[in-house]
Amino acid sequence: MRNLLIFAVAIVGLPRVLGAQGVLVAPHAIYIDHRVRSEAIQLYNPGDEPVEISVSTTFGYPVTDTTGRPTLRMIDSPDSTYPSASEWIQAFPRRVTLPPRRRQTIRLLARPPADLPDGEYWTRIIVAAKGGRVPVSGVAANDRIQVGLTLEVRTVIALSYRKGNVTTGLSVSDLHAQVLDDSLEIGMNLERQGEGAFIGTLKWRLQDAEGQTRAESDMPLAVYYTLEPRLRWPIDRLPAGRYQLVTELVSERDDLSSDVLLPIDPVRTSIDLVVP
Amino acid sequence: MKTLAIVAAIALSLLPLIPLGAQGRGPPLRVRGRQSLAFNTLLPGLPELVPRTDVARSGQLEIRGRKNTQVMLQFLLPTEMTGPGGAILPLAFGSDDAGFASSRQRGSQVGFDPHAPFTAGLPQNGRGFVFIGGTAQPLPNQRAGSYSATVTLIVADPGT
Amino acid sequence: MRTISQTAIALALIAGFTTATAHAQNSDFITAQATVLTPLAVVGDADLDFGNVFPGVPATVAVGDPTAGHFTVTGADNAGVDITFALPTDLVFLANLLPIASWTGVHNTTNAAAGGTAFTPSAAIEVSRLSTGATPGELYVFVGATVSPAATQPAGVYTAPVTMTVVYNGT
Repeated sequence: MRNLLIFAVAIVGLPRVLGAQGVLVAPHAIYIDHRVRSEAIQLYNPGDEPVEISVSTTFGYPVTDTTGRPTLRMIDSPDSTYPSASEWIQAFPRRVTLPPRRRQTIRLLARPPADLPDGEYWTRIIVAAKGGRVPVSGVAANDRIQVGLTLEVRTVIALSYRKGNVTTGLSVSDLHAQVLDDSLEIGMNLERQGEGAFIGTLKWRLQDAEGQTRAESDMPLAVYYTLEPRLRWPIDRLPAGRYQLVTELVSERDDLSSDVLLPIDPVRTSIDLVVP
Repeated sequence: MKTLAIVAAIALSLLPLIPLGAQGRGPPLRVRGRQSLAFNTLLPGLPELVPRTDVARSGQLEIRGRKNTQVMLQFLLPTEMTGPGGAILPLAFGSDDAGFASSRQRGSQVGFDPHAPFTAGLPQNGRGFVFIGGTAQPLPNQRAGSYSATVTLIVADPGT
Repeated sequence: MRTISQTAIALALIAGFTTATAHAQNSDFITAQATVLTPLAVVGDADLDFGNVFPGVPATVAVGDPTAGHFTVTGADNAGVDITFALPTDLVFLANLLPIASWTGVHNTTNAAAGGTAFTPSAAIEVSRLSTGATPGELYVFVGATVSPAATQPAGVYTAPVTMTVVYNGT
């Protein structure tokens, strides 16, 4: 009985809707070692209709937009200065029709050039899903106009290919922050060191003059080249006074195994803040 | 669960101290784990069944004893696997998830309920194989990472 | 309590099995193993549906309407995502076109258009984060638009695809 209940809860928890068109992709980041040269992604169709799926690659890496929010810069044709793996990562199969509530494994095979230097190479995997049915409501009649738009989805995830001993690191500069009415805005400049992208977490805490933590939070972050995030968190209204903001960048992620993260020594920075 | 495993381990470690008065001639009764029960990659919210007949993924143990004798089999089954930060992943075993065979041929298995003792006969060569399948039931918000649990098989010679 | 009862059962089981069969016995174990992956699910779960429209009469589906387009994104707690759209300018029935424009969008970490963040789907990129807290890793996107059938618009079933792309930007 308990098993039945668990199963029922599990099914209810999935994004399954009649006529839904989409796909579940896992994992959400892929790491391939040069010695292995292959990896797999799992696809699942949570809907009640077959879904046509295609898998392709493009090049891109996270940057910050003009407001300081992390976003992805996509480059269709990266030149040779970029460590792109898009040309030599291949998916098998590239196209598949996935029946309702079925899983499919997609193999990703790397065929890098023979003289590939040691380092980390990047691409983005695009999984496009579309349904084969166009449901339109309204009264069907020869003199009626019926209008409906079908929804298609594309999911883009990261792939990193590592050859040799790949390291990463971070330098932090220009940490600045301000407490607004009900939020804290933190900005900093981050520059990656080493050969591989930094994938980790930014943690921060706000301490009062007695050293007590008054607010804290964290956020997953990826630095491929440089990043100038300006991030805002809601916080409770703080009494006027002096505070210290302590930030820490660590190679930890809740959503990724530590096996795939390039380790760094935690990078700690702090500044004083005055709340008027 | 951890306590269960520890107690089971202590109890099992005492088993060799029990007098083996009824042992007859021939090799001693032995069981050895041959293959893990491998659910491989799971997606949150999607139960995954490994049949006992799945050659690549079912758990497998080998028994060696006296030829043409009966052995009693009893599993100690976990109800969950443990993962990162102590996260648990429910595990279930159905009434036909265990199998016994006198060879590793999956077609020759006789199914039995892994929750109850089962008596099997060792053939002429004194070898038998036990297979175990099961269902992993990751929750919709199951934390990512590696999970594992211990499945123990106790094999006894009833002395018949 | 559960652990205690499990322990008791295990002890009783081993003791009982041992007593009943105080003969040759042996035990060994295998492990049950699994690796849970973090998924990213993007599902278009309600089409943008105008139903019947009339020649010469523009029709609008607002983001809060039951017939608005609806996408669900589920993934890792607090994960950063970019959302972009590929939008049609016309719906098609045979060789006939029906213009569609004035796209509107809202994304929210709870499944309601009200209280969400408004954005323009036809703009370049909308940056958001999946939810964190009690129900982590969720984002809902609502899409509306206006169709403008001509006075001489031929009858028929007009359709076109709306494609939403979700990019994980935290890895």
